[in-house]
Amino acid sequence: MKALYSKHAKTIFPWLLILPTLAFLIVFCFVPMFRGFGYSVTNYDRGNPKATEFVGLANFVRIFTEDQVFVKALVNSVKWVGCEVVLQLFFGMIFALILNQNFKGRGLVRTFCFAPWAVSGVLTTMLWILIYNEHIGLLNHVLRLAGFGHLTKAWAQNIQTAFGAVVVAELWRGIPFFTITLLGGLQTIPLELYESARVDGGSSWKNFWLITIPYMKESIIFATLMRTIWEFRSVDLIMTMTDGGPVRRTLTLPIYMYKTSIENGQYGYGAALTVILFLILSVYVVIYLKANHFGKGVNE
Amino acid sequence: MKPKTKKKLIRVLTLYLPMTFFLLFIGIPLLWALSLSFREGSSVIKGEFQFLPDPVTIANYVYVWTRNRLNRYFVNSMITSFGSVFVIGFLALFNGYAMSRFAFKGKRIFMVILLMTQMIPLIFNMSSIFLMMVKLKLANSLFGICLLHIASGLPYNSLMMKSFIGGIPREIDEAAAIDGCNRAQIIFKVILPAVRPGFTTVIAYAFITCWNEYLLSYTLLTDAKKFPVSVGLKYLVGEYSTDYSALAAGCIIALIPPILLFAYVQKHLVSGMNAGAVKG
Repeated sequence: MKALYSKHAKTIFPWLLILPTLAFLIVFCFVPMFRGFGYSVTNYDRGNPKATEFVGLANFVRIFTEDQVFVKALVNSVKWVGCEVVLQLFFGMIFALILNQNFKGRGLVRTFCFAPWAVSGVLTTMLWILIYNEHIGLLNHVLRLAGFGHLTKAWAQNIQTAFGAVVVAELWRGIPFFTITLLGGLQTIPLELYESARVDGGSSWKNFWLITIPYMKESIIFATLMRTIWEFRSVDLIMTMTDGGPVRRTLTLPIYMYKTSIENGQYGYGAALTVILFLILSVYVVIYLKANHFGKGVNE
Repeated sequence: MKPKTKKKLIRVLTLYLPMTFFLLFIGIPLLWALSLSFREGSSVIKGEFQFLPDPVTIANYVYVWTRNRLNRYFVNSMITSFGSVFVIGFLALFNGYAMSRFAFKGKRIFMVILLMTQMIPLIFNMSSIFLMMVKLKLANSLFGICLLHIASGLPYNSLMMKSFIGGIPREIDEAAAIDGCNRAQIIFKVILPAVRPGFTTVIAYAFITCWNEYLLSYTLLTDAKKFPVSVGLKYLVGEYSTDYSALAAGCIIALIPPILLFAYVQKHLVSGMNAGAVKG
């Protein structure tokens, strides 16, 4: 029989399948992206666009040698991504396992649990502002009712709590993403595997490590990778909740880029920051994929 | 301890207890918004504390739906979301199939390209996109928004499809080929039914991201008649004061379609798998 997916078969069929997507991406993603990158070797300033000239790598030199804020922003970014991805994966896994069990009202609970995933960025921010707000916030109301009135504060503006406050709000919206992706992965595990494991007398803990995790490896690797990229470049929630403050406690790299290029109009410098952000992510992705042999699995 | 009681206790500890925590964490912000949406705006601004609204009023809903023209924005969002999702769903299916089944030259590059599109904050590309769309005469048009939604939705959903299709045994494709199916038939009659839970997840995901998308629509649409819900809601947030209860009502309305969609989709997630698996 002729092998359907032979490695040596000369076929343009897969190319035909991906061609429309390539066209979309080149026109609407890559052209704008590389145009933007072009500014990184100029001193383009929105306030004085006529004085724009080629400055070579001057922006990059300045970022790495003089810019203290860059270092601070990079550290914050790493902290932010680390907290978000680890906690989201941990809780997402637990809840995917819970929602995969049989219990009454499962459909309803699932729908409810995934709701934050359906909530837009604007709404997430508003919801959490209504909770953290010093005067009308739910958290302070509850603390007062419980007799902890001395603990009330403006949670998103306080130096000690601002970072934690945005982390929790982002978790609220991020955990359901992991839960749904991992639940999708859980559904692909053939039930027969568990049945034969039960016959062999395996404990559920053992089953988790020997059946569930290996089978879901690809979903886990993929969800973690995407989430890392998205959290690293995310701006919306931090921007509207704390705007990088107080005292740069929540200033991540993309927020710094946004402030430099869009708010202050130093588009050249902002573009250089974006190039660095892009390079950091690329290096991370390459290492991550190599380490996990992604794209070279059994199904390739 | 009796074995039955022990079993029950384990079930409470491993299922109901963590589930309760989860539901509380998820639920409180939503229920708080729901409660706010039925309150009188003035009592919210004054900072009065009410768990349950007293008196209950639907004035906020009436206000955002008619005065704020959320009804119109709702239709716009529906048009762009459905239009984009239709294309994203099928192209993602093609890409996922190509990537999971074929070892073709340039496959890894294609995957890298998909990932690269995800690494740049969209806000950075916005000015270039804006200039381009003006040149193409696609700024301020819902069709242009659809094209951008498709481009931004394709990478992630294609990769997701790849991992879903990767989970389907190749034997079913080969069996179908022996039965005389051609390639298109394999995609639509074999892969699609087998990957249905994954496909519905992709559709739901794409729909929700399109529905919530804000930055592109905000930048490109200048005509208020063409605004989607997300942009309309943002206009409820004022520079100096915000009508929190009206905003909460608008948010609840904006939540309805994604939630309904999800309530429908999650059944497929449950019933789905194994349906297309090879027997024996």
